[in-house]
Amino acid sequence: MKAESVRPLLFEAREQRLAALDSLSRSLWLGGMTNAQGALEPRLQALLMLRDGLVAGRLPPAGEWAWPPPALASALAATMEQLGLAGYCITAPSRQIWSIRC
Amino acid sequence: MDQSTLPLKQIRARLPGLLDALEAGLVERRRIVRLCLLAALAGEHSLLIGPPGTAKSELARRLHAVFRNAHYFERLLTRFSVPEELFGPLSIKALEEDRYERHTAGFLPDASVAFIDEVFKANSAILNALLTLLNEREFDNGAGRQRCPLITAIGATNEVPEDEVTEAFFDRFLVRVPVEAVSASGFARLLDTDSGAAWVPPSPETALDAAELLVLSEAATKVTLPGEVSAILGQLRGQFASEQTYVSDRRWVKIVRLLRMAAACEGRPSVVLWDLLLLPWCTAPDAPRQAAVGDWLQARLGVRAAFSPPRLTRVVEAFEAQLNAELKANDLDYDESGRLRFSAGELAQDIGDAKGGASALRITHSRQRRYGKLHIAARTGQIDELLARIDAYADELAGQFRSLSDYCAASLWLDSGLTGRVSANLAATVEAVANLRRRTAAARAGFLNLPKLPEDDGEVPAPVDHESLTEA
Repeated sequence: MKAESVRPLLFEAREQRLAALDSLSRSLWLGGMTNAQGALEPRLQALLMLRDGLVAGRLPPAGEWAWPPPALASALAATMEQLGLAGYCITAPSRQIWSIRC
Repeated sequence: MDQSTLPLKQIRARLPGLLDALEAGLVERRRIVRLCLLAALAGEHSLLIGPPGTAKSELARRLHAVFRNAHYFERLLTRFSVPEELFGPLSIKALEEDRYERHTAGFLPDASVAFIDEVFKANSAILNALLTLLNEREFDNGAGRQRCPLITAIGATNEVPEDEVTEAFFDRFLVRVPVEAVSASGFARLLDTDSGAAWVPPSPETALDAAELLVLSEAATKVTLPGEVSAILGQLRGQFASEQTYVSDRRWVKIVRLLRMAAACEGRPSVVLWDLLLLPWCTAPDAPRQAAVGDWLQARLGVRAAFSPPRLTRVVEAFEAQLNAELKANDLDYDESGRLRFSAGELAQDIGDAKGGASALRITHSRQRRYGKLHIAARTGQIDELLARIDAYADELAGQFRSLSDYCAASLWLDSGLTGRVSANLAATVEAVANLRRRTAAARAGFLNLPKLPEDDGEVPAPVDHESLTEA
């Protein structure tokens, strides 16, 4: 029974809201936290969803993005689509880059 | 005043005095005294595990004085002990009438509080009868079953048994408390105690009678078990299962009854999370494993050690890193006319300058970046959100700290050493969160003090004249 790996009940709910931090690489979570657009939790959730989608070779539809605001999200999604970013991300070198976790 | 609760209040008010009386003159036996009385009030049995000469039997003898008109029974078992020693001699008269019955008056089936030393040395004939007596409070006497008035039994042993035969019997003791010789720091106090002085039992008016025990028992049944407490019990059960340690369903049910009794004795309508700190002595069989359970529970409750919430700390660190990056960022340095600025000074110290080259005008390569009002307002806005987030953490923490302080102040059952440690750890966590707030406030001040761009005078620049592109 190891106490060291136990997650404390104290702050559990509040810390859970920031759980996406654990799954993002430093370059994403650092920028995700200090970006001034929108609120922190949706920003991190959106980054995680985009990252996971792109690593899987799929660009999540802009309507599903929790961040940035819809107009910006649509424009970004269109640009990513145009660039073929999802396809690029499943190639070996990019996959390695995107798979880096902190 | 609600008259229906008056007797309960009066009973509760007597408990601290009874505990003090039980502990009087004993050194470092606070926890044992408390756990044994709690087990007795919950109708459970305790096992004291430790070497001889550690006041185990003394404690049991004292405990019976807490209950009015309680019959006390005490035996030391050996491999050669026979059932007669515990359950009474066979009745000759009954034998003459072809009945196999015992005279139980003055023996274990007649006792309210029993102390059985070296309890695991009992042979199987004794163990089987003991199992029924402890569990069902009944004794098979001849063809009939005799109801036993047993409130609690205290067993004593030098070591925890490992064999299967005694395991079932071991499980009958809900509370299992290791008893050690007094520590080096308590030794002088031990020598100071007057072993010849007679212990003064609680007065009969203070002692608890059967009706009062029933009042306490009824109050305990009304105590609620909140979901957060049962969730942790479930998690602890899962932990035991993952380590192939079996804790019986019967034991979990009894544990909850004990927790309810602990709450009822302290006048609480529900079990609280801090009551779970009583679990090590109810779930694990020996001192090392009890320590591990205690550690796990304290870690789960967030009081095992001071800690800074890790994800919140990362957010604070991110803004500190951002401030550092913005302070170190450089821009190309333009003068008012939009040309790169000439400066003599910047490289002068770096140049070996026998020919006075340092005094020549040079183009400086950079200057510290300056920031507009909009940027600084955005950053301080983010920091203000972070400060509000930290305050929410601090509010939750303050609530927990208040709850723990209230619990410790009213706690009859946890020893002050344990409550003192967890309170100190929680207080240190309060300081860790306050420190995060201070760091964040410092970062805010840092963003406010970033080098600023000159004020925009609001004047729209005149259009630049150029030749028509179409004509070209």
